[in-house]
Amino acid sequence: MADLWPNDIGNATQKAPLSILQEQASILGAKTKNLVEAEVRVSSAARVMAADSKNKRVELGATIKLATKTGEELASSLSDKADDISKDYLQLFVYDFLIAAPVLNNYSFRIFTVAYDFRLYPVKFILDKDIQDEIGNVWGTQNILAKSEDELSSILMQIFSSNKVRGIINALLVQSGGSIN
Amino acid sequence: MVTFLFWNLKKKPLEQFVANLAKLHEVDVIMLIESELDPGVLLRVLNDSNGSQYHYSSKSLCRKVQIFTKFSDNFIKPIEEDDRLTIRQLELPGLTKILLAVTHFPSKFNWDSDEQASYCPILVRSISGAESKAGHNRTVLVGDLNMSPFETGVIGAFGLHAVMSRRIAGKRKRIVQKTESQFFYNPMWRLFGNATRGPMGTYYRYSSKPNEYFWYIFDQVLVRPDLLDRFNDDDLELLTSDGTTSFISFDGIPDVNIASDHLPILFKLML
Repeated sequence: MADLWPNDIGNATQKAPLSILQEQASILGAKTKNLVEAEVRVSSAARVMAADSKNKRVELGATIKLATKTGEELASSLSDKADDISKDYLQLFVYDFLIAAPVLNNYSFRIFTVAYDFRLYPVKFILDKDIQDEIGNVWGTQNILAKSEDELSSILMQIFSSNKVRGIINALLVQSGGSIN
Repeated sequence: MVTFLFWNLKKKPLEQFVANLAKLHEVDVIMLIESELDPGVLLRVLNDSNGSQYHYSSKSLCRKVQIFTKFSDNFIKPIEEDDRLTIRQLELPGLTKILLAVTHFPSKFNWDSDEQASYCPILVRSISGAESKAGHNRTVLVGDLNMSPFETGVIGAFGLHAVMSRRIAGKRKRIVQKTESQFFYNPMWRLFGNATRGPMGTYYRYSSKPNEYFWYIFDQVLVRPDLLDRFNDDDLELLTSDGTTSFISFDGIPDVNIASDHLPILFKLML
């Protein structure tokens, strides 16, 4: 029997956004003696949520809509609008990124949610408004997108360095009885 | 019986009205959104006019919701939050523990109904996460949802899944597309329209658009099935006065010159 599959299957070179998020989450605990940790909450895969009167459908967990257009229109939006994740798009993976304090009754604060599809990039950020305002001068005040692994890392670095995230971590550290220094 | 007050203050200095309501209804938990009140100022007014000792929880990192309680904030610790949501564990001595989730959802000025609906699963995941940590599902969600009870985000199985029927909510969950979704009971439905004892909604808007409801119930209280036997529908009301000053104008709509464009909600739970 002929092998009809391509030879380069499984040779992906891109790192999945989830892996990057989980790596970063694992680092925070080490920096804070595990008094403050980060956590990636995995949501279920996207499912169609509902149909409204305009015959649109809303996807689970993302601020993204899939318009129930004709197959041709949808295929076009999938292939031609690769950079436009804010509309007409199906998201398969949705994750919440939380800062958590285990000794404070497992308190956690969600600082952002990301959504992406089978192509991994672009990654759409649904951000805490304060953080979005803070980094908005670089990435735009709406629909922050990471179009590559490098952009994802860059956005994450800015989020983690934002006054809001620093403030949350410090507040949780103090209440947990610790400090970074 | 624990008494709760929720009010969107429209960023107005309504501390005296809040204090009067707290005194009039013997409120135990005050939840405010769109509040620019200095907590210290409100505490002074609250504790002056009530002769009681209200507390403010400074441990919360959610700045869009202010919560004042008649008891120490040690009994209402935050467990899960984001910039629009605070979920507190209410653990009063000798009473049943519950989770109190308070939110101010993105408004229709900025987001359309689809965008609001698509944000709901994030809220639901936070609530489920808190319930998982707390080890129970006795949750009440209170907030300005900026959606009507019949909109997709509120009614949808992948949204808040809040239904108008106690009987249906009592089934606890429903499976849709292989996904199990817990119900909320939404008692707000009975407050629509002229056949109610109070106003026809919590918010009024007049516009020249062809489709206009005029009265809206954006401010809602949603109750998990495990709390249904502790919640009486008659213990939920929309307030139109603090006992002396009316919050509604002569034509029966919220008077923004006097108070807020939203009316306060009062409810009680038998814990």
